[in-house]
Amino acid sequence: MNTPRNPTGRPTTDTMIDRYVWAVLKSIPEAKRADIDRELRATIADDVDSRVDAGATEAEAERAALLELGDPKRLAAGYAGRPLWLVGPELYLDYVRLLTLLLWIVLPIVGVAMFLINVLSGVPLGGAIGGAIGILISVAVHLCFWTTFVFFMVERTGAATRGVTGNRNSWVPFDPDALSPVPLITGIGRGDLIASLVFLVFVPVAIFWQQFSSVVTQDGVAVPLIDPTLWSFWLPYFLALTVVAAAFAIVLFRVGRWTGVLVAVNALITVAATVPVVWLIATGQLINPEFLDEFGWGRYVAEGSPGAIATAAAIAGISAWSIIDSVVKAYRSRHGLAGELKDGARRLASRL
Amino acid sequence: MTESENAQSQELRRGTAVLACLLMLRTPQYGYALLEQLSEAGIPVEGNTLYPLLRRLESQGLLVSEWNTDESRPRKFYRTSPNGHALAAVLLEDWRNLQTSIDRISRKENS
Repeated sequence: MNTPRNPTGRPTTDTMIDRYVWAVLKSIPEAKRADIDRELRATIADDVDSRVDAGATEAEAERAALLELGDPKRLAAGYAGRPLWLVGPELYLDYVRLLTLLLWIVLPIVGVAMFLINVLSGVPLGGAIGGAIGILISVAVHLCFWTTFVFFMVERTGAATRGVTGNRNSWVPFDPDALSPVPLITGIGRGDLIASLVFLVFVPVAIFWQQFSSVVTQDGVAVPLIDPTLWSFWLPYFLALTVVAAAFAIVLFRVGRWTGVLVAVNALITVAATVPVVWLIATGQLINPEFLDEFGWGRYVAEGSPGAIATAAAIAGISAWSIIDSVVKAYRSRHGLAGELKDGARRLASRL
Repeated sequence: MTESENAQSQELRRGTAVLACLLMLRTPQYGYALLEQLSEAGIPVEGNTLYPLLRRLESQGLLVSEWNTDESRPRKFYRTSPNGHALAAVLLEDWRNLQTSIDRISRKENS
């Protein structure tokens, strides 16, 4: 707005040395410019003189003197006390920690929320997944950018008071008790992986099998067990979920033990699978009415019938148990069986 | 000297520039002449390290400066302040202790 036409320190001539000095000065606070300008010019002039005395021409000497001083931006950073990095070693660990935490918290929430919003507003499954992935990428980029930006600002503002080589403890102090356990062979075995994968292959196979070769036929055409109208959304949804669950089982096996994150992801997948199943059963939408008519079973699984409610409750119970089980295993893998026994003994002792 | 030896050597020398400046500037001197003096004394420092360093030490109160405009070319003379003298004494003590320790270790290795 009120910037002068000729800011402090800008040379009025345009020699090579003027250009160099201005390249240094323009990124230095105006208050410091005049003094640095004067000193830098005297220094360059001294260097040029001594090179001319040694037999160089004026032009050669100027060029050599400037090359000796090096990149003007680097020199300016030195004068201004600015570090030549975005996030330095003092802040780097806090930066990585915060960024990891933010990504782990925000992305799953946004992904699930976007997916559900799309599905509830009637977007087809493929579009819902694609839309959610698109939003996730843009949210992830924003998170990375703004976190880096904030740390960059802290680095710049703090550097002046700390000095470039200052040392500081991390915001999160190191605690030896918080070290994660080494994944030992006694964690998730190959057996668990195979059992999970067999089940997860069985589900889609069963879904396709009941569609095309049911035990019940009408005029030679199979009558599926599951209501075929569910193919519009819920059956593809469950098929997609088995792929996700299979990927999760492999990750779990590779990690070798239950961690907090894995427990959370497992709970998410379990809830995503269980809630629709329980709801479909409890409201009597799961089984094909034609299939039921064949046996006259309709009233046993109708909405609100004891059969439907009991089945739904049993499935909800099994899912809840699988989540609790993963939490217990995660606790054990962190504190070990010994810790658990010690806690038990302490509880017993307090009761006596 | 190989490249990695050179890097190690620079790592070892880092920090000696401050002590050398504080000791050298017990007699007032300007930037370019100090660079030459240090180089002759066997402590070569790059100009783009030394000139910002002098300003940093000045802003930390370890050096004081004065413009000399008597000659045709005005020059900024730096001089070690009382605080600078105190720091130099501490660093020099450190330096001598380190030298004694390193000497002792290296004699043990040889015997």
